[in-house]
Amino acid sequence: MRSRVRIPAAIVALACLISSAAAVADQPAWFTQPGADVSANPRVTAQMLRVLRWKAQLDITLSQHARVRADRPEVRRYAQRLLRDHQLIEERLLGLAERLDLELRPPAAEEEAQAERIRQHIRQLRGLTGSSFEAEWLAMMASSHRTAIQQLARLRSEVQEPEARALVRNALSLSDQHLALTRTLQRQQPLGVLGVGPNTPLWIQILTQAGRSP
Amino acid sequence: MTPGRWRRVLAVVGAGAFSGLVAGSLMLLTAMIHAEVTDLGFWLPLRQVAALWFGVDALIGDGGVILVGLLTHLVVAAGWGIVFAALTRSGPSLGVSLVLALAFATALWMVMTWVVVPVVAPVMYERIRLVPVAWYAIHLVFGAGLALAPVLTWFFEGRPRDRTEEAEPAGEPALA
Repeated sequence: MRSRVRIPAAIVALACLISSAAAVADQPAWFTQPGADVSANPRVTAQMLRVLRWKAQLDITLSQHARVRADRPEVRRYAQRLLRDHQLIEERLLGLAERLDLELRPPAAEEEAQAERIRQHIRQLRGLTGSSFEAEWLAMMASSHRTAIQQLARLRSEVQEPEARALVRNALSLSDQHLALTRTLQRQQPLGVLGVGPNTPLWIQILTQAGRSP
Repeated sequence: MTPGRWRRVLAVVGAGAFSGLVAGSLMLLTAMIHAEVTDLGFWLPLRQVAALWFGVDALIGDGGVILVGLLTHLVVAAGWGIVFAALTRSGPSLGVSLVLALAFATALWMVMTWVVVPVVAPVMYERIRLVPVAWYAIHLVFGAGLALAPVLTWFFEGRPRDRTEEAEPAGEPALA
């Protein structure tokens, strides 16, 4: 009995230890593809992180308004989700910038322009309530995410640093999800399951298509 | 199939499902506490599981969505519990069972991280990439819970654990 268990137990325990060591390393780069070029261009990486941070700050500020001023509970939940996702991304990118010793503060003129843009958005939302507030805020989110996706997709091809590439890929996917949620809320449709709705998972779409075909 | 064999099969399924439910609940609780502490949102783990069915819309769904996520998680956890109970039906000791369960959970983590989740649960995948250590840790919690399976199998079979295989060979004198 003991010999029957000892060998497989030792093998799996070894696997357990190896993967534990990988886990303790706490590197999001686990998810990156091997073989990425590590000859990073710090200027491009810093620029990408600045764009990411600016988008996060804009969405965090505007989501704080929507979290308390939106009427529909699902819009408030979406605002909360945006807030939390962007805070997590910002935390990650600040950690990465520190590790890579990159300066994320933009030039003074650019910083002032960004602050003015946030003030302009807040002025647009001022005085709006209920559905008119939601419509305006969702339009802002749609526009903001579309722009962010375009900018990040362009920068992603230029960034060489593996961790930064992993982070921007992650941020792009999350932005896609946010944009999909914005569209759902703009259409004011109920949530769908099993083939209903544009955000239905791919595997369910495949299954339902297979079920329909003769 | 003889009645004794049936009883053994039922004991393995019952013990596996029960230990899977216990382990899955522990895992879920750990994930939810972590999500709350790190300000990701207490219900996020269940919403992410529900995204299997609802897609990204699950992230803004109501209580029904959370319930679907809970049921899905528990059913899957019970299923993995049955698999583990079947693999360890020969009844290793609790210590060996714990090592095997942790290794099983690690293997599960690998399969989930690199094969299953990216394909069927992209909504979950994009967020576990941001908290990789917690993602691994909750699988270890699941493994620790699964270690109950062999003990429960003996219990459901209605007999004390048979240690004769580990005892001294018959006929040899005891050391004392």
